Parts: sequence; C-alpha cells; structure tokens
Amino acid sequence: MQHLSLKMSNITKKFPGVLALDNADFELAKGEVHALLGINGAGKSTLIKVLAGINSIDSGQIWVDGVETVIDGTRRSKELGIATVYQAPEMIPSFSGYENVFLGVESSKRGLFPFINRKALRKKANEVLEEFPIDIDLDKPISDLAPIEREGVAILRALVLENISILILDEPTSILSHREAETLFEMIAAMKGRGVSIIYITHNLEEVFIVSDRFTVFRNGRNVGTYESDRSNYSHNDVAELMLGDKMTSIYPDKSETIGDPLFSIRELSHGTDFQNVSIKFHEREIVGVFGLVGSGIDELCKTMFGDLRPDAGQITVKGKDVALKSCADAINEGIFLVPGDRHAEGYISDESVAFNVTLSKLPGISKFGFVNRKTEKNATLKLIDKLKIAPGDPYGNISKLSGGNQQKAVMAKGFYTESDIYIFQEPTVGVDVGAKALIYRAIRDLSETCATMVISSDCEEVYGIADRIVVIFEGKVVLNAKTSEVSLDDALVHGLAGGHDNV
Amino acid sequence: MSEVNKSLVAFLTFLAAILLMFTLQSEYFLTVSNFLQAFKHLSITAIAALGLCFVVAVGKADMSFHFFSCFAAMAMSYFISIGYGPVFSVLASLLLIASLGLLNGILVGRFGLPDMVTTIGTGTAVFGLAYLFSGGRYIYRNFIDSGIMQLNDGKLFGTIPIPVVVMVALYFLSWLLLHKSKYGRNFYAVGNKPLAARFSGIKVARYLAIAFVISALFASIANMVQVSAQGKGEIRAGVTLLMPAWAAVFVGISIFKKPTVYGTFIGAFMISIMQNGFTLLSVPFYYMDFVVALSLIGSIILANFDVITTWINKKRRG
Ligand SMILES: Nc1ncnc2c1ncn2[C@@H]1O[C@H](COP(=O)(O)OP(=O)(O)OP(=O)(O)O)[C@@H](O)[C@H]1O
Ligand SMILES: [Mg+2]
Repeated sequence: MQHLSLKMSNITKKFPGVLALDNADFELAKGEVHALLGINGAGKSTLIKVLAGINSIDSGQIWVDGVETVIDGTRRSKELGIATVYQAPEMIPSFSGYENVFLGVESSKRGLFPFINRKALRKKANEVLEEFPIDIDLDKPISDLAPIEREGVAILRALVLENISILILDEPTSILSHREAETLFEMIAAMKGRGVSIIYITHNLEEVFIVSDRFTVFRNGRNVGTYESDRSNYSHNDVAELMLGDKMTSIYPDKSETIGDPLFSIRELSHGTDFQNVSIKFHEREIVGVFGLVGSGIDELCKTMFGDLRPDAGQITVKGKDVALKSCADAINEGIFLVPGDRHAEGYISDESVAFNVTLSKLPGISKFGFVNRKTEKNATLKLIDKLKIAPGDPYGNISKLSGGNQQKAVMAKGFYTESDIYIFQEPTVGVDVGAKALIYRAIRDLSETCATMVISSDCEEVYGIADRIVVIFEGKVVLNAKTSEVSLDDALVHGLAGGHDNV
Repeated sequence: MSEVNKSLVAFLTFLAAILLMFTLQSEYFLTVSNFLQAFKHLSITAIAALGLCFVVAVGKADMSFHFFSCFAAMAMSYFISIGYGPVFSVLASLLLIASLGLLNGILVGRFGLPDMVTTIGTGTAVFGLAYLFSGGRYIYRNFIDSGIMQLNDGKLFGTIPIPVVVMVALYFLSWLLLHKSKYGRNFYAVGNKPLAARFSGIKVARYLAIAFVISALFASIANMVQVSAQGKGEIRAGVTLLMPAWAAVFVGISIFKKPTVYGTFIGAFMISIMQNGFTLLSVPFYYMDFVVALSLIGSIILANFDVITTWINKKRRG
C-alpha cells in the first residue's frame, strides 16, 4: 500500500456501560475510498466522531499523514483537513441553505473576531454546487428542502472546507434513491481524483463494490479485518457474514400465497399538485409496496392517509367504513399508523428513554386511571427490544445515545406497540444492518397476517423484495399496480423513473 | 455517578454553603419562626415558577404571566370592593385569567405565532387592562373586612400557613400530572419535537394551550397571596414575579437537564433562601438583587458540572 493518510491504533472509547471502541485499529491509504462496515452499534459512527473531534478517546494513538496528532476538538479536526458528513447532520431548520453551510466554517475560526468572508464562501459554495449533479436552492430555509437536498447541504458544508485531505461520509445514501446515490458516487469519484482519501459508511453492500477500493469490518468496537473490494472474491453474503460473524439466511421472507379480507382502501385520492386520483386497495396477507422517487408525491400520499394532510378529493375507507381524517390522532383512533421516514424529525423524542418512545403512541396501554404503570411499561418495552434486538437493551436508556440503526428499530417498535390494523411503513430499514433488516421484514410479514400493510421506499429493490403487490407512483400518478410476481424489478424501476416510458 | 447526580451534589453543596454563611452571620436565621416566614415567601415564587415550568416543558416561553397575575389580583380586589365574598372573587378572577391564558395558548399553539413576542404583547395589553379596575389606584374597600387576608394569614391546624398548604398541594398535583400520569409524557414530547409528537398522535396545540392556561393561573394564585399579605389591591404587585420564576425554572433545568416539578422547587427554594438571608443581614435591596443574580449564575455554572469539567480538560490538553 502507498503512503498512509491516516492510521489509528489501539483506540478505546468507553461510554457509561458501553465499550464502543475496544482497542480498534484502522488504516486509510492516500487517495482510496475505504468502506467501513459493521452491524448496528459496531462502533462505526463512534470511530468517525473520534476523527471529527467530537468524541475524545480514552486511549490510543492517531497519525495523520504520518504525523502523530491529538484531535481534541472539531476545530483541530478541520485544521487537519478532515471533513465530516454526519449520520444525522445538525442543521438549523429556519436558516437558509447558505447559512447552514457557513455554520460549520464559522465555528472553526480562531481568534476574538472570527470573521469570515461570506462572499467568498458563497462563491465557493456555488462552485462546489455547480459540480453537484443536483440543483439546490440554497436561499431556501432548510425546512423547505427535500431530504436529498438537505443531504446535499450537509455535504456542501463539508466540501467548502479548504485543504480537504480526508472526507468522511456516514451513511450518506440512507435517504437517497438509486439515481441520487449515483450522482453522489460521481462526486466521490471526483474527490478521489483530486487525491482526497474517503471513508464511506454504509449498510448497502452493493455500494461497497461500486464505490470502494477496500473495506473494513467492525464488530463489537474492534476491527475484524480489511479486504479488497473485489466482487470476484466476496459476495454480498460473504460480506454480510463477516459483519454478523455468523451465517446469513435469506433476507426477505417468502411471498404470501393467498390474500385475505380487504381492510383499507383509498379511492381517487388527490392532493393539489402532489398526487391525483390515486386508488389502492389493501388486504390482509398482502404487503403492498409503493415505490416512487423523492418528489413523486408518495410522501404527501402517506401523510394524507395518516390524516396529517387533508385530501382535496377522494375517499379513505377503513374496514368498509368511510372516514374523514382530520389529524394524526384521528387516524390512530381509526387503527391507522404511520412509521415516518424521517426518524430524526418525525420519529422519536430525543433525550427520553426507549420506553418513553416505544409507548408514546399508545399510552393507555401502560396506564391505569391515567397513571403510568412502570412495570407494565418496562415489560412491554422489553418485549419489543427483544423482538427487534435493540441494543443496548435497557428500556430506560436514552434513545439519543443509541446507534442510528438502533434508533430506527426503536421507532419501528413504537409502531408495533400500537397494534394498529393498518400500517404504513415509510423507509422502514433506513440505517439498519443486514441482519436486522431480515428481522424487520419478518416482523412486517407477520403483521400482514392480520393487518393491512404498506411499505414505501425509495429503494426499489426493497419494495420488490418485501411486497406481494407493487404500486409505482410517478409524478403524482399511479403508473403501475400489479402483483410482484407478474413484473420484473427492472420494469418497476423504469416506471418509477420515467413513468413507464422506456427512454430512461 | 450519572451527570444528574453530579450536578445535584455540586448544587446541594453550594446550597449548604449559603445556609452555613447565613447561620454564621445572623443568629435569627436558623429559627423556626424565620423558616415559617421564609417558606411563606418561598411559596409565592415557587407557585409562579411551577406554572412557568409547564410552558417551558412544552418548549415555549411565557413572558406574560407576571402581568396576567396583576390583572387577576386587581380583578379579585375589585370584586371584593363591590361586595362579593372572597371565594367568589378568587374563583371569578381565576376564570377570567384562565381565558386570557387560553388566548395565549391559541395564538401560539393554533396560529403558530412566535411565543416571546406574542406573550410580551398580550402581557402588556392585559396589564394595561388591569388599570380599568381602579385607574391604577390601590383598592382598599372591603379588603380587610372581607376575610381575603386569610389567604395569607390563615393557618391549617393552627400551624401551617395557608400559602404553604397551597404550594404543597399544587406541587403535589403538578408532580402527579407531569411525572406520573400519561399526560405528562405528552407535555414533554410536544416540547421536545412537536413534529414527532404530532405523528405520535398527540394534539400539540391542545397541550400548548393547557400549559399557557396553567402558567397564567398559577402566577395569579401566587400574586393573590401576595396582595392579601399587603392588605390592598396594588397593581404592580405581580410584576416582580418574572425574574425569580424564570430563574427557578432554569436552576431546575441545569440540575435535571429538563424542566421538572422537583427541579423548579429546588430552584425556587434557593432563591427564596438567599432573599431571606440577605434581608436578615439588612443588605439594601439593590445589592440584594445583584448578589442574588450573581449567586444564581454561580449555581447554574456549578450545576452544569460536566460542561465545566470537559472545558477544563480541553484547556489542559491543548
Ligand atoms: N453518546 C453516547 N453515550 C452512550 N453510548 C453511546 C453514545 N454514542 C454511542 N454509544 C454506544 O456506542 C455503541 C456504538 O455506537 P455507534 O453509533 O458507533 O454505532 P454504529 O456502528 O455507527 O451503528 P449504526 O450502524 O446503527 O449507526 C452503541 O452501543 C451505542 O449505543
Ligand atoms: Mg452510525
């Protein structure tokens, strides 16, 4: 291997009750793209937060460009040329895109008057943006941007840094669709061309072979091996088994053979320019998968079915009864539950316990005469912790301190706890490792025995894998509605990307 | 030791030091009668702070409760002056003020107006309205004969002052509501992430409204006690509730990392004890404000123990 851009050795990081990094080693060669893999809670984010100067280490040594250094803050990290895009980037929703880009730079200036040249930064941001395959209106407040655009702002924030030598991306594609991810890969290739070394964290094994030169697997806070990303030597399954340290069984459960009673339907539902005349029927024992790009209207469709948006026209019917939903609370009363796609903003309450979050949507389940019964709460939560293998498994642990994938599992657990009749899962496995994905798909399949279930994802493969019926939405209209066994994955993709016209 | 425990220990040490200082300086400080007196004083700050605690729990700021409390106390004094009994006067004024609190809640919760500016606006307006009762003059009529002064002077079982009884009762009920009942969860969820709360099926606007109503009601109760102690309806009596109430809530947050009923009590206790001690030492009131505010900042720094230690560590390493 050529000259090392980064070497970490014997890094240990303890959190109260958790050994997040246990004598971990890591090496990054100059100019390589290095994928960092591991199951949820393996210590990936902790390792990169050490590099970013957010986590201090208990012991260990770090060399950047061959020089031993102590990274004792985010400022030091930036001085070393380390740019980080976090798993859950902190942004100020009411600030514009530009301001959020600048935030990171301002905080890294020294001196009494840390003035920055905003004009120059704006220019730099625009330059970088020009190379971006997507167009973002940086004058808009963050709260008005789509997930991909927000991710773009987070990446821009890292890229406006002068003298980047190491770029770290923590699950950047988790909320991106295929095509958007591809544009990201192009950017990565361009950065690599400029001699930047890149650490890339992902749970999508295919991406490992697309973008990376080498990959390293973490397990229990330790490096268990670094390998060449060579398709001919390792299959997805091999990589998955390296991560799990165990045999891997098939990730998707079997398809359903029969269809049960109809439970839920939407008829000719429309909402402004978002979607028009959407009709879908939901039955027991039939998982409906909905695929559509960001901006295709699926997000609004979910929110309409959950009572958060009011349809302009159309009818929602629950178990044969027409309903008019005025709020999410109404929808929950009718037995409908949405597990939202953006877990940080919509899914969980930060700095509260796992139990608090899991039971929040069905508090009567844990209370008597209005008072919470701690024992019932604990047992109910433990059951779901066990079912979804949430780790660490303390029902009273702070949800904000769980790893990203485990937070997602807790948000799923919250949905399961409501025991609703109609489930809408938006991006149910974002940030979840392969093993846990199989677990979640299994759980959804079990639910579908007695419930109407719908899985919405920007990952067409996921929709295709889990669903018995596939619905594709393009520009607010249903362009495909068929049994999954009767269409091919490519067919579904083509419909989602171009509405079924084959000139993609 | 967890973060909360460290903060709590640091904080209690600080409180003990203050108590020790006052005990050494004034032989009267550590007497039963002084403590009863101090507790009566405490109850006023503590009750107002408790109401504010609900608003802070739902993630909003209330800058109107002290002004609202002036209106309530003047309304009460007015009802008394035109011949109504104390019970009716108190309840009728509380009903009036609850509807004004609801107005805050609707403006902020339903229409999404910014909390600070809106409540400064409604507070000032309501304070202006309070002048209508007497044109700003004291209201004496019937006051002393009506029996309203029992609100301050009365004693339960002949020993426990009524204000203390009211405080204990309100704290107990609030503790049940915020920390033991299922509804308490919803207050915190709304304050933490309104969007996630809404998707969890919580009626966000409703909880915001309830919090503002509670804030207005509790501040008004506190000020009614204050006015009964003075023996006349005075319009400015409640204005001084603002600073100590906010301070108490914030001392509580710095210990327990979120607004809590017990944290608010500890905060109010600390502030009252300092005010009481300085009064005994006959420190002039302007020095007192200065020293109380300084000690407050000191306590908040101490309570944020983890922040300080990481800061020191960083300096040492750099
Ligand atoms: N601030 C913290 N306090 C306590 N424990 C923490 C904290 N941050 C992380 N942990 C714990 O450290 C372990 C490693 O977490 P980390 O976030 O590094 O996992 P990860 O590999 O990034 O997982 P994921 O794929 O789910 O994002 C987990 O057990 C997590 O609960
Ligand atoms: Mg992570």
